[in-house]
Amino acid sequence: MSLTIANCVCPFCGCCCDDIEVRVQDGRIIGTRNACALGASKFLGYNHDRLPYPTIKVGNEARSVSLDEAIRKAAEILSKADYPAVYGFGSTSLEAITAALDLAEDLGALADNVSTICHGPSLEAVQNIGEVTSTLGVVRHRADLIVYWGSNPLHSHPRHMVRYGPMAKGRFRNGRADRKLVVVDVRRTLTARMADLFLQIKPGTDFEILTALRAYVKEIDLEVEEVEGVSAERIEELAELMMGCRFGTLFFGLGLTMSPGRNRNVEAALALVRDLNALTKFTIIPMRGHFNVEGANSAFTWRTGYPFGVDFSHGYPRYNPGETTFVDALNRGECDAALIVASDPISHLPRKTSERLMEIPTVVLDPHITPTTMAAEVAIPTAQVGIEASGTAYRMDGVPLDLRKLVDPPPGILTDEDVLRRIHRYVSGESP
Amino acid sequence: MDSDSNFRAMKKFILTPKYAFRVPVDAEAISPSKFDGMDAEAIRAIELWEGKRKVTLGTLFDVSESKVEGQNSSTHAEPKEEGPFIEILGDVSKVRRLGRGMTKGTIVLKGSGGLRLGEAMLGGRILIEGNVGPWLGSRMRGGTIEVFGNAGDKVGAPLPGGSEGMRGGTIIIHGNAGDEVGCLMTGGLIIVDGSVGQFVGYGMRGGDILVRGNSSGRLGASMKGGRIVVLGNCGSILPSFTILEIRPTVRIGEERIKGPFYLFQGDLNEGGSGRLFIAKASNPQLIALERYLEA
Repeated sequence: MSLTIANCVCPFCGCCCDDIEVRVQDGRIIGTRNACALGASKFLGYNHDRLPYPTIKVGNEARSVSLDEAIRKAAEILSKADYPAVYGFGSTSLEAITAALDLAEDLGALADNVSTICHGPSLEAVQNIGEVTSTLGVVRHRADLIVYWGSNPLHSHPRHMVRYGPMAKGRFRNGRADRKLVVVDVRRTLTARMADLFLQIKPGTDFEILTALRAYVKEIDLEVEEVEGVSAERIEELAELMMGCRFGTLFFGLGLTMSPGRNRNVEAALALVRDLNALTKFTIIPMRGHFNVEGANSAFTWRTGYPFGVDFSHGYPRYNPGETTFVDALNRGECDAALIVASDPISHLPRKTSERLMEIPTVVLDPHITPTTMAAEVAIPTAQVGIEASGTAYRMDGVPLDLRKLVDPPPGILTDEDVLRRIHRYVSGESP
Repeated sequence: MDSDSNFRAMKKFILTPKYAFRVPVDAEAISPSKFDGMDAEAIRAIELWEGKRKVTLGTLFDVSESKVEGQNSSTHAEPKEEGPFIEILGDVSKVRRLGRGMTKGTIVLKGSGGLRLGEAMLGGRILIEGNVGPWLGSRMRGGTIEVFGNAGDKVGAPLPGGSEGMRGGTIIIHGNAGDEVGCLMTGGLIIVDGSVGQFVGYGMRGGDILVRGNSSGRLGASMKGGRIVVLGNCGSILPSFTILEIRPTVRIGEERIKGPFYLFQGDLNEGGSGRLFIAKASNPQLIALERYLEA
């Protein structure tokens, strides 16, 4: 006897598709509908490579221990440190993130989330320039021009184009024939092949192209025939398309935030969209990666005033990307312990940084075995949010959605939030 | 300059780190202005942050006190400034905000410095014999900083949320500097003898920047005023700048430098009238722009 659960939110990418049907039989997920390949593999493969029990490293060997013992050891490592870090949170619930921030504050830790290595520069840019934005629903119903800049949604956010982008059937725009698609990228991606206009630019020249577009929109004569290998006519063509649309949206990815210029690239894009609003309606939305990285930024902001890279070491939140961010602090060899929640930094960070992380004692909370849990001093398995635990996630446009519990977690395995609260009670000296 | 003037005998404090620091040390309190009128005992009792713990300066540094008479200094940095003289011996690259808000006196650092050195400095003099981290002279208002090694990113820049960077004073870097030198600068002078990264003078509104080496491009993005002089190669000029003329020389600080220089104005996207002086000899890639010069 199988049970079909409708309208589940997919815990994979920042699209947070909320129309997934999941079939459950005997406490196991046996099928999905509507999910893309990435989402389906997350739902169906949630039981692969699970971390079976809490471990503490003794010598080179990870020894299985009771949950209580693991939590006690974790609290001891974190309390003893002079400059501990708390990091992760792209793939867990808002409730767990707030629990981690409570803990970080009492530890006097450096608290950072994964946006420090993805859209952190976008957040800095928004603080400097401001942002003309909208929800994805508005884009779906109204946009007649969609621009993807430095982003390849067919691979990274497979349903984005169908649900909100050029192929979406909205109230006032009925699918692909009603919309124009522009792609700006350094290579001809699958998404670029579908575009009405594809602008191929040299790597690391986004800022120059955006500056030229801004100049055209502001009716300043370009004294050049080409900008970094792109002819002035091509730039003019794109600028005319943007100025001539009725409702345009620019989606930007890591091609903009992680290429030379970083936050200045995003500032140029935000300023371009701001300038376009003198002529038409235009919005800009970052293509967030993990399903709840936007939520991590929101939770950090309402708890501390800052979206990422928050240093509690002086007892109050301080923020200065480059100084109080996890990767930079690790590179300088400053952190002497780390708590990693729902993230796998050793796989994602640059090699030098990962090596620094492996030199310090770490406490890792994760449902799965990852290089980070393998290197951990204390590894604690947790329930998979959105599958074995409920919670709240923020979609890439900041819309909150409820993640559902579909099946029970393996016996004895708690949620991220519960484990964090118990570590916190140990740290505060209460009986857990 | 006035070599015969008589310097008053002043206090000199020598600080030596007791061990290699690992976690960040916040040393806002290490500044000649704070040390003024204190003896070594009082200085050892000053509270600093080491990571998340408050410790006394005496647990981190050996402090010794001596008198300095005029120019009998062991360093090439002569204590020309009034006020206490602080000499730091050893690597303090984990120490942040050294000399914050100092108004007088001298700091000589015989080693490398950390982040935000000389932040919000109002007067006095800092000399660094080694390298120094990002935000050197952040939001500086006056005084002089001289670095004999390299500097990090954001020399003179404000912290997040700040709309104004360096407003006055002089920063001289004999090595190289990173990105965004003079970000949001409104006054003062920055001289870099070596090369710099991208975005020199980002959003600057006043003041002068001289780069004797190369720049990696995006010079003066979003600038509204001020002047940037580059003697080396500067890559490409942003499309939002317009070429005005070719100048034979340019005057910066107390120097008159021979050109010829291409003179650009921008950033036009921001309605700016900042000026770039780019040495013609080292930038053959810009020759094509000469045809936009009206005869």
